[in-house]
Amino acid sequence: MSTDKIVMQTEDLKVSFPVRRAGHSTTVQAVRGVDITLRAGETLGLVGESGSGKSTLARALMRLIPSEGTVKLDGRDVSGLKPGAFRKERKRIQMVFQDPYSSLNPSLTVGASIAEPLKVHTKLSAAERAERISEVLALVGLNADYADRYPDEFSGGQRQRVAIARAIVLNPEILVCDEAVSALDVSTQNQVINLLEELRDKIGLSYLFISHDLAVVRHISDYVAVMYLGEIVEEGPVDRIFGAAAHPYTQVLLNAVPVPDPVAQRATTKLLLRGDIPDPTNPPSGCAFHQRCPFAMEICAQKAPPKVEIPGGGVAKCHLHTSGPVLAGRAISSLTEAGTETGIGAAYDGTPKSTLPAVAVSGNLESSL
Amino acid sequence: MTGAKDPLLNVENLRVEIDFNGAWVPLVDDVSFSVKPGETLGLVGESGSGKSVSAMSLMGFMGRQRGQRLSGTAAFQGKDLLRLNDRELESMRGNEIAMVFQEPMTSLDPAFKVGHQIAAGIRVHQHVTAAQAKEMAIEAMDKVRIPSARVRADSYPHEFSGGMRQRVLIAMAIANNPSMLIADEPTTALDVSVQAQILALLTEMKEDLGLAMIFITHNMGVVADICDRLAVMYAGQIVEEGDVFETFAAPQHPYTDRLLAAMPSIASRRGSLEWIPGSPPKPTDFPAGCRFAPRCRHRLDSCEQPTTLLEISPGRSNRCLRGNTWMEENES
Amino acid sequence: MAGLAILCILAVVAIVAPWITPYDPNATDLNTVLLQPGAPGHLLGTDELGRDVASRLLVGGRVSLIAALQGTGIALVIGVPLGLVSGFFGAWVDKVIMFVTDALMSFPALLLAMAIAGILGPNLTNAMTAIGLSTAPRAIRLVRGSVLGIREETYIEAARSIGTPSYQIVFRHILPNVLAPLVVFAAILAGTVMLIEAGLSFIGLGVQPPEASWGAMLGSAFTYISRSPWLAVFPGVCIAISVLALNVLGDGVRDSIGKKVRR
Repeated sequence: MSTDKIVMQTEDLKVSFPVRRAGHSTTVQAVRGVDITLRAGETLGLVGESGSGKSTLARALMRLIPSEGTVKLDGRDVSGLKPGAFRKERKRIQMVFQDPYSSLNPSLTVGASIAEPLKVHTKLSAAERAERISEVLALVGLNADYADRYPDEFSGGQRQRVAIARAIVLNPEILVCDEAVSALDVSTQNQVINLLEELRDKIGLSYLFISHDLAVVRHISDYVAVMYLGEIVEEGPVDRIFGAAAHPYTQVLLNAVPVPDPVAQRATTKLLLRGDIPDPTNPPSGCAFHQRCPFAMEICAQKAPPKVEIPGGGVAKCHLHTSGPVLAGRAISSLTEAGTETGIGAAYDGTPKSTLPAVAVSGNLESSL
Repeated sequence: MTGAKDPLLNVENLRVEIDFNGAWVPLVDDVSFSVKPGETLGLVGESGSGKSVSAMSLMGFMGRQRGQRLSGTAAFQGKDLLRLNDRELESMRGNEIAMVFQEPMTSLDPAFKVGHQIAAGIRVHQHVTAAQAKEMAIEAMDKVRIPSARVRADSYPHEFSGGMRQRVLIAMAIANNPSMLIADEPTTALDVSVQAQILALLTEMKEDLGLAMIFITHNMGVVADICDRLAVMYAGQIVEEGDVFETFAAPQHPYTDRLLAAMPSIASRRGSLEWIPGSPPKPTDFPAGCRFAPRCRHRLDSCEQPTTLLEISPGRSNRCLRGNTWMEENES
Repeated sequence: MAGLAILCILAVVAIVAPWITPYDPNATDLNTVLLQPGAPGHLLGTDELGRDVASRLLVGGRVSLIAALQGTGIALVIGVPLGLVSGFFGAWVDKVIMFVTDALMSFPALLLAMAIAGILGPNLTNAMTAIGLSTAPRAIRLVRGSVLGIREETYIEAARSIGTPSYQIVFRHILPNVLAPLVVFAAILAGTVMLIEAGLSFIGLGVQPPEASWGAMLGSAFTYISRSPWLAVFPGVCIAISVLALNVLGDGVRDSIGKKVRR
């Protein structure tokens, strides 16, 4: 589906918030220089845990919060536009939020909610608006006469369809989905995901799909970026990321997802991280992940790792690929004995498994038993 | 773990009803299950399936208030949990059966040091001095692998991360050496990497302390990780119960089958995701016959009859009126 | 519902009062002074100047109700916009508005109304302006509080992501959702205003003689309380019933809104 046309691109995007800590004010860098590229018809999956800055990034792209750096829509830099001028660009990029219960105004009918973007951005008459509303309701699989009802008459899944209808009513190019299916039960979640895929094919949308659920991201994405403490630590085509993760954090995240198969799940050696995401007001020196990384070396505490091109596509920010070089682009699983994953990693680039470097045994891996 | 021991908890015909505009509406109905010492039973289902209500009614948090009623039996160590009076309930809770909740952020009192909160829980049930209770609290925090427990005991809840708070709650739960733990979605609010830590800790607790557990979750991956047996709930009833390995390998009830088929996989990508048409019925309009029938692709006219959970082989039960004859249709 | 029924009856009576009074409420008749209730021709008796109590109650009720509406209206007209601005835009605007509000709220409303009525001069309109001004801070606080809550709802963020201008966000998304608590507040405030009006008229800062209002009637009845207690009882009961009805109505609205939210 994806072509080479770039619909959205960020360069060195940064977001910082003022916070008060113990009486004096300081700033938190929630997003620390992010470059992402979204191609036409593509789904870019953005994964990360709470505190990684993924939702902040989405809000910065939507200009709901101020940011620094460059955001290009269709090749045009829109980051310098004044709020009034940017309002026109909003037609291109719309958002679906996590909570379908609070993202619709309870005092407006479904039709009035969907009509709002049309009122703000078009000069359509009431009749033309009504027609367009029935059209999008049909597109998201809802009955056209639902337009006259209020959100409290609908289930979570139906409300999320309404929210999607509102987001696509202007025919945007980009849809930012911030945990758009996380609040739904699995069957409803799957219906909404299928709908998003259908819409992508029907009306040529591109998605920035933000989620903490790796299985969902695996399913819907073409390309995946992994965020940790405000940075993208690894990105690449979905099969390369899930088959041969090149950053230790990605590897740990993948390993942590429980698989709905007791045999496989119990056979996996668990990689358990020690500690928590560091305080973003005072990020660690060097690589932000080094204190928790099972393979940390001396250099990791001193220098921020460079971006390294990974065979199979994408980049990773990790010293393991350049210092030593221990990995030189190979998958992290070739360092661990994570059972089946070693097979995938080794088979992926065909090089024999290296032994663990002495520096890597830093005791940051907590044994699972 | 699952030898021929007598069950620690044996729940039979549990029914919890609420008064809805003058009519009694069952939230949970005909629920029977048992848990052996050291065994972990997963109570699985979508939101509103009655899994939490079942557990809450065992603890006396549900079914006893005005506008609610309760029937059935829950035999636990020679007592019927559903017929304890308030004082007996209080001495049982947190002592013989402890509970861990979903929200590690709101389950702790922000005004007290965590060591103090754990110690307070100990002193409710054990005749020890404040100093002894504090020592026991630190010991419990040590057991749940909170680093430098002695120092951290003097910290307030807001100084802990979500994962550490969940550890504190588990420490609180095990501090009185309960024989059973009821964990209600204990990892749902946590990040996956933290969830993995907490699951590993709970696995360790059940092995080291011989804890029996009822683990309530909607996540089939979590069930596959930690449970010995599972009971799948739908619309207030258990539709299938059995060993985790056997059930995942060959689900006997169409609902379990669809639920498992719907789980997106991180190992591979499928064409489009499976889903179940329609939505679960509300307690006010549960069908008289099989409650899943309206959404079931294997439905026959005979599915309008009332259902019972039948034992199909030792340790496995199924509520499907068609037994496992529906499976042939799945292939075609 | 009982509250609403009582208020409807009061409102109807207040509207038609000028046409149904058996006597001119201000006509004095020194031959029939302080008649007992039930006296021929005077159902509720007469006051110290021989004026018909029933007629004065009817007309006085009209004055009291209009006063309550006027006072509440002024409080809302001032309070709602300031509360919206304060809650929605925040920053220094909020700080200034909140400082003034806090300062005003540190005085009892009645005292403040007395001071303002004292400065503006004693008449009913001034008294109501005074009451409106002195209760406006409560309206500001209420609206600001609701706005702060609603501002955090995702649908506000969604509207901003659509590009909806701020004023439309305020009028389309925030105001309608503030309305529910506002109706409750207005009903209860109207009761309070009626009491304050009675208080001001009682001490002579409200309605001026010979004009009647329940508070003013209560004030002048005070002198004759031992000889003719009914003069005080009738307006007192009227005030009590109206205020009670307004409060019951407020609670009723709150409950029905609560039900809607829960559904």
